[in-house]
Amino acid sequence: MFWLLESSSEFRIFLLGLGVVCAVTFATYVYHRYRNADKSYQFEDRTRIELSDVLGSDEYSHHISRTRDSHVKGLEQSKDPRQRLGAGRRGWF
Amino acid sequence: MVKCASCGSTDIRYSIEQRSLACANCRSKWNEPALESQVDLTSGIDSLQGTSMTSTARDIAIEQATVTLKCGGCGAEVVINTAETAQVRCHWCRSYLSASSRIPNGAVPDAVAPFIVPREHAIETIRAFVDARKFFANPKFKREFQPENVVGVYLPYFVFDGNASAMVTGQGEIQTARWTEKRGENSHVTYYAADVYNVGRSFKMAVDDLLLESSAERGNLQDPSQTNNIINAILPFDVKGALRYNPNYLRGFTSERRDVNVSQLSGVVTDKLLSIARHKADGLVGQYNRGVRWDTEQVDLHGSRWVTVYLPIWLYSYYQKEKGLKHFVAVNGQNGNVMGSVPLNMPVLALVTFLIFVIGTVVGVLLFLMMA
Repeated sequence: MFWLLESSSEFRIFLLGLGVVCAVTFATYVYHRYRNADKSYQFEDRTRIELSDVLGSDEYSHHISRTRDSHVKGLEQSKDPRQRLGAGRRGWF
Repeated sequence: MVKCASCGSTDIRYSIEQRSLACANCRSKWNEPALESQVDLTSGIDSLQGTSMTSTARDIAIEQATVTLKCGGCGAEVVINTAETAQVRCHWCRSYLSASSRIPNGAVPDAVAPFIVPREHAIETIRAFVDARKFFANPKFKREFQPENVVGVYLPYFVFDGNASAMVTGQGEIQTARWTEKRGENSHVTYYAADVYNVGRSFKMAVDDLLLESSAERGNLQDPSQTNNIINAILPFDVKGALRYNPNYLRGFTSERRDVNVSQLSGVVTDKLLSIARHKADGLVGQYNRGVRWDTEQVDLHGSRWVTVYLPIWLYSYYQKEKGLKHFVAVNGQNGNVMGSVPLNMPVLALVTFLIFVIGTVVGVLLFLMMA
């Protein structure tokens, strides 16, 4: 977290919240280690899948000349493959 | 077969040490043939069309002229046609069958993957798992922890093979420049420039041996009253090595019955296929170093193949009464993988967390002042 801070003044402000960050990190770690409520079988990765007829389209859209975002906007919303996107048809035969 | 081929005895049990069925009367040992030798579980997935399922994967019949009774004597599941016979004795061991042992038809699986991990090994695995998590464990749980109470359970699963097409679209970015600009006396801000692309990926997927819980209770990973995700987390199993079902494999173990039909899982399957498609698509867009944000996802299932199977799990459960929550520690009966949920001692955890908060805050303020 603190490595994302870009200036020494931001780092100093971060130091004031060090206690909260440490406490939350510790409690989260213990909860996950004991309860394992976030664990499940990683079927997306571990199931045998053969891909074929792979097609791709990469169409240039525009250029961003100046942004503070280090990643494409909205990346977090689609990062988890189990989180369904708003749009999209779900076919069943 | 349910009877011993050598002596006709019905006193047959599965021995984990010998990894075979063993007749208690004549000491014969044998195994049922592998399911793979009778049902094709691997080839032809990419040409599947429609739904193909074994007879045991068909819908569970609720009311029929035939009923299935579980024999208390030998464990066999005996199908009786009530229109033709009033006989209520087991075909195999001649025990009288109880009407209270009636079970819905269609829920006998195609195959069973027998236990390989011995009970003693499972006990030690569970003990080690919990011992490593005792400091913050609920004191009542620690007092009552008896890993010897572990139970061998066969849980029902569907083995799903699927032929599907998937398409995802979104927007990806490739970084073209990165620089920092000074802002104020001590501040620097990083800026980026990037080319933006509209990205699409489509492909066909041949999904081999995706395991789906066929017990409604176990399949509900969101159930707030039990930690079913723990059982899910110890997957997978070697389904291809599963043996043709014989009720004798279940003797000495408990088992749960399938109560879900294939048609009820259409939503679950679509959801899993979409997740697989997104995961695979992520692996096809490596050139976008600023990532790809997916906006649409689509999957069409052209064909599927369904097989039912019993899979072995060593299960230790603990009911936390004050929370109404059943915790599981589960060991995969084939490869020994373990996962568990240990109830927490919340007052102790809160106290230690508070101490860390205080120490962290004091250190943080001191560093803040020093840097000034």
